[in-house]
Amino acid sequence: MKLHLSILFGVLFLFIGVVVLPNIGFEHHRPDLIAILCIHIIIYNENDRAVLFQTWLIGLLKDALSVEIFGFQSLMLLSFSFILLRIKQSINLKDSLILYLLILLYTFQSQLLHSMIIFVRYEIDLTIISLKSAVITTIFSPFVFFILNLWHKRV
Amino acid sequence: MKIKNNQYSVFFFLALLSCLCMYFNKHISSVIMTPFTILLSPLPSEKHMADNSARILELENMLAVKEEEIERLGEIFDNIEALKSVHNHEPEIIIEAGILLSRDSTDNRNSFIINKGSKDGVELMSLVTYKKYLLGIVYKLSAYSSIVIQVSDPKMKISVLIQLPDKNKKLKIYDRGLSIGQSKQSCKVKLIKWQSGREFAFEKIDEEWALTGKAITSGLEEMYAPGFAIGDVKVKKLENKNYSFSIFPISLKKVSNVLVSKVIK
Repeated sequence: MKLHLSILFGVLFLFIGVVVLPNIGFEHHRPDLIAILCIHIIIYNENDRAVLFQTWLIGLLKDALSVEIFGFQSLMLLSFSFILLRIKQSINLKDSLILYLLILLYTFQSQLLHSMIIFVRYEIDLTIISLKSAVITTIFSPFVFFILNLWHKRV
Repeated sequence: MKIKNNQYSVFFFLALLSCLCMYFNKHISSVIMTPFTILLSPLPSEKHMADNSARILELENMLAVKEEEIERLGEIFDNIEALKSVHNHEPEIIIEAGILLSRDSTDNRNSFIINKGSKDGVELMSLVTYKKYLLGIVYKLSAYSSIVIQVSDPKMKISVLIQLPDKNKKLKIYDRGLSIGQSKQSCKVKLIKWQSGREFAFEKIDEEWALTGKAITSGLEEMYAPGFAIGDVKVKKLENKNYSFSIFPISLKKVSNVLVSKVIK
């Protein structure tokens, strides 16, 4: 996926996640569309540097609309992308079973890391919430992947 | 090998940039928020007129806008009246603001964005209220918008008292509580030796509030004036001989205009 398309989808998914989903019943647990987009970029983009740059930029977009320290989400997405790029060299991530397992783990891991930081700072345990979000994201991922794949094939 | 090295260098370069962003958090986030504010703000209406029908349509639209404006001003007036009844002092600044986005981009934090920023006079740590409800405090500022952390965010710890009605039209007041944000639009009140509450007759307390349990700021911290409602009390549990309450703040779906205020100490 090219840079401008990644940014476009990043902004679109961010707004869907923040504006649309809470108004159609996903007020407490929302699928992490940005995480699905990042995984799509990691799997289908051959240029590793472009993957790192695109996921980092998408992280910055997420940072802009969050109360968290600016740069935190981008650093987290960048680190996870780097790890997945290493894994990609030895495992075929396009296999559907591995793919959905990967989405589950990726979302859970990033949410869990965030929850751990919140636990250290404010002593609030959000582990269950992280797991629920990861499951919902995995359930949503085939639809999002279908849309992204359509674009990917057209381009 | 060269590709791998490139990958490492890009990774470390971007990670360094992220760290720099985190270090200069306040300055960068305020700059980045501005384009999003412009993107989210409603576009000004065009002023083209083709014939009389267009003129009539425009006048009808103007009338609708004015009616909306009157409704909005009425709401703001109610908000200010409610705010004055809560504050002991006159607030230093009162700014009317609208909500641009009602959710945080991350799942674990609770925040919303309002359409007023530092250029409108909003200051960090100002209180954001709706009628007698405390919605949160201003945490990040840009020129034309601000991010407000909600009372249900994990960062928020507010000393509260809880008033609960019973069947005999008596209110039980439980004081010395600490409302801690639990994310997911709820708070939990941890109690300090609250084995029994003090009883008050209904007449002494605001009747409207007396019908449902409410968590109210007790004013122990300087930052939060006493008397603001945090939310409705829905669950009461006994944990280790102490009561524990779940508090549900007012849903932002019910809120259109908010007030940003700061009090002279």
